[in-house]
Amino acid sequence: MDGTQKSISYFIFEVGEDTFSVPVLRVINVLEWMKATPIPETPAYLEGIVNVMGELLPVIDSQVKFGMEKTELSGDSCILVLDIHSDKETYKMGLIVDKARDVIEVKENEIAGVPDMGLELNPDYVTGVINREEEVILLLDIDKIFTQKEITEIKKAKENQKD
Amino acid sequence: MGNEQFKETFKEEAQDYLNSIEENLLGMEKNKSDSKAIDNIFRGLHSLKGGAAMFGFNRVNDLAHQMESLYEKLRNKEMSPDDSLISLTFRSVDIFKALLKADDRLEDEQAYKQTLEKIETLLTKVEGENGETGKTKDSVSKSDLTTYYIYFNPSRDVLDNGTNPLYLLDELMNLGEGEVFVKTHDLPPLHKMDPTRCYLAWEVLLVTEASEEEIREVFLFVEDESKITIESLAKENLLSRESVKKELQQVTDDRNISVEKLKGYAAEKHASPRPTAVEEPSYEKQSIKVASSKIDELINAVGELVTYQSQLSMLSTQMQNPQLEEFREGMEKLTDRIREVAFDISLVPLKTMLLQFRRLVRDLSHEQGKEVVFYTEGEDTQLDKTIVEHLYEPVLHILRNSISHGIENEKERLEAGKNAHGELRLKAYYSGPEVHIEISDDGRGFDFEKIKNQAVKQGLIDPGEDVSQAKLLEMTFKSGFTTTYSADGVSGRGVGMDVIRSTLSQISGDVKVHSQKGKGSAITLIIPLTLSIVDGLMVSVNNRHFILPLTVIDRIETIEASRLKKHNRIISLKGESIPCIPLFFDPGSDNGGQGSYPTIVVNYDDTKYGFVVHKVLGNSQVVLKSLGKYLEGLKVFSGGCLLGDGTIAFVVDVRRFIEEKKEESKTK
Amino acid sequence: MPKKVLVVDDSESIRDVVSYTLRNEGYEVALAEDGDKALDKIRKEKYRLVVTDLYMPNMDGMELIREIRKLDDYKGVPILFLTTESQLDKKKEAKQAGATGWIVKPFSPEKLLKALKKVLR
Repeated sequence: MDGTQKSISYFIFEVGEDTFSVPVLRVINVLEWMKATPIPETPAYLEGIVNVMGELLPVIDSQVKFGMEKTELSGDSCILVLDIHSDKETYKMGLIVDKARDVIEVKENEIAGVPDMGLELNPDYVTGVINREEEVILLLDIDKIFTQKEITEIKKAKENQKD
Repeated sequence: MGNEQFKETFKEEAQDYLNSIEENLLGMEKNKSDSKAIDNIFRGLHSLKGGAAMFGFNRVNDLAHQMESLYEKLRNKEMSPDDSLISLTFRSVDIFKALLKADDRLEDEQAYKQTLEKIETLLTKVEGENGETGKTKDSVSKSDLTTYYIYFNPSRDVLDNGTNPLYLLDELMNLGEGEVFVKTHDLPPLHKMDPTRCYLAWEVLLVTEASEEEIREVFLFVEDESKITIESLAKENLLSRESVKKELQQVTDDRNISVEKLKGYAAEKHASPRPTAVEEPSYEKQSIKVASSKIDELINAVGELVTYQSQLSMLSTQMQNPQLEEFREGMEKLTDRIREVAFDISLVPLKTMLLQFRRLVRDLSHEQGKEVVFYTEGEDTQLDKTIVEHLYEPVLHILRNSISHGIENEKERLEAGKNAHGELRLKAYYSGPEVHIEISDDGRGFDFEKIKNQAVKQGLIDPGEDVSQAKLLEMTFKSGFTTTYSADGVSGRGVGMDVIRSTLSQISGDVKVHSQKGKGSAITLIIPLTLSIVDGLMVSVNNRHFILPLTVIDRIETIEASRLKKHNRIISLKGESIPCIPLFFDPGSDNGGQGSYPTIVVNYDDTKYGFVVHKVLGNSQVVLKSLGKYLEGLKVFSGGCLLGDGTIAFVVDVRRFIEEKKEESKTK
Repeated sequence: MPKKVLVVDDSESIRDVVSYTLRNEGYEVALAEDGDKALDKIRKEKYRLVVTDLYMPNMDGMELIREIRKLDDYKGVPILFLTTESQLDKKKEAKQAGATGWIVKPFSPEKLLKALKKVLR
């Protein structure tokens, strides 16, 4: 292995039976799970809004968003406050995950491309795969997951409506 | 503390008075017999005077006093208003403004004097030789110790007005030392006694440095209806004399003090050194500029504080600990105060800005020989102070343009089949996470030919190019594109459209133009709402809270569930057919459907709509918070807010909500 | 328990001065900008003292005083009104309406407290 390889810190967390990661720099905060206030007429994956030190933060349920079966909350559930970059601006989003694990250092050459098949998840959401001790960690492209366009099109996705 | 600290508030307030005076003057100009306008001006001057005197603006006070006298005559119909009086008042308003700005220093002494003289002449003309007498102030000189005899017999019904005679006696004793003897001789037998009457009288021997004047002042509020005697017995402390003490022991309920006897005792004077008054330090009140991000932070922090406060309250109620309860009470008051102050710091209603524009419209239209009626709407829309500051220039420019270029002269207007007078409208409203300020006129609109020529000249388009009007309008915002308007001395000196846009972009705002040749133009300033406060009606649906802005609410009705049919939601309320929209719930599958629903009737676009809800929770003032960029597409809410207990409520953008519902019914 | 005082004036600066002064003295101060609003508060809560201006939009001070005196709860509660030198003739009218006393504007905090001490302890 080439020791001069650049390494990046990744934040590891679990959703359902899968393990995911995002660059640690994009994780602003990890909050204890709290109940979100649901927003009427929005898709089911949008859990709602939570109050974080007087700021309103939209929160997305990763299970629903990733098309998994929704499970009961565990004591480990938490909200990751993520820094999202869009074309024009940056903003914060909350992502409910089942468990926040740890931070790992990953060298660039450890990251493999996304396989063409074998993923239930929308392949656009994943930028790469890391293999660690027999475990597959999916690298998430959070900017794609939290694209604003989706919400602009909320109205068209009425079948997902909650209210 | 000194009054200095309040000077700034006074100045701001004085501005309001002046604005109101100006506004009413404009009304008076149209209708000279407008007695309400005269009353309002009078009141404005009166308040201005009161405050000015209090905060050391003596020149403002003097001028306001004189003006007030004039308006008093007007009110009493001792004289009638004419143009010269109106001009004189406008003139005074300008002088007041200058004085306030310069902390009562005169910049233009001549103008001040002339105005005062003019008023004086007018006044003397009306009242003949009966000039006002100047105020005289009593100077109280203090003497050395004096012993006074005081008899105080209040009227029977002294208690009715909330006076407590004992307080007065206390106050009296605070002036020095002495003895009080209560007189009960008028006391009726118990069964005849009315506890709300006062049957008592008092005799007091008081040794004090105070003057008789000061003693009398103690009884200021009751002197008209009480029997009061104050008599100086000796220039010494008689109470220190044994003979006097003995004499006083003889005094009983019905045996009075013998004034004559006491007067007989005399002794050498004793002087006591008086403490020297300590000069209070005066504090300079300065206004400071604070970064809006800090105010944001403050508001957020206050929001948090309120949340914690209500949690504390809940906890305290549960625990029923008196000590905690006391603590909670104190905290609650403090929190309220902090919240009020924080809100205050950050917001001003648009009104504060609008009034000065009224005057501008008047002056400009006079100057141009055009009659222009200026309508404003949404004056109560609240905006961040710093934002308002940024709006002044752009609005000024737009109004100028409208009056000098947009609105035609009377002849041209009549030829075009329009009213002789031009109409200028300024309308402010909340829209999504923004405030919109729309300034429109019914003038000739933008000259697209001219814009096109200019665009060609500046190389922005090719001569033969087919360019849409919208695009042409957009070009007027290009830097340096100012020659759209001829330099006629009015708007030529102002800023161009490009400057309007850049000014707005400084506050993350934007500007849009619509114009129709011959019909007029509308320029909309779009301003972000980062700090805005919404005065709203809180409602709940399925235990979720929503806020509807009060500005659009017409009234609240109740409709029976049975009237809310599935396919026809147009309901007749008090003779009006109103489309009623359930707010985020389906009445069909609603268990509350048995009874009735409160329905909030709103006004939008001159049409009424009903918002059907589960519960109306009452008025609420909330800090509007953005739901974040991610939810930008969610137009039905202007944002969210935190309620006292930390609950999140959504602020409904009524305009957008109705538009969306309209869209929906179209696609059905 | 601090004593609750209601200050009614349409002028913010006057309200500020009065409330600042009174709060410094340990009173608890509630504010209203006209008679209507004052009456709303008065009906909800018992104040130990009302200080009101005479000239105000909506309900003026004189009417407010009359209205307050109609309330059983407020029979013996002192009411002070603010007045100016030029309105001294109003004193009589106000007293008949039920006012306890008055404070002449302009006033210093000392003057205000002095008047207050006459009617409230």
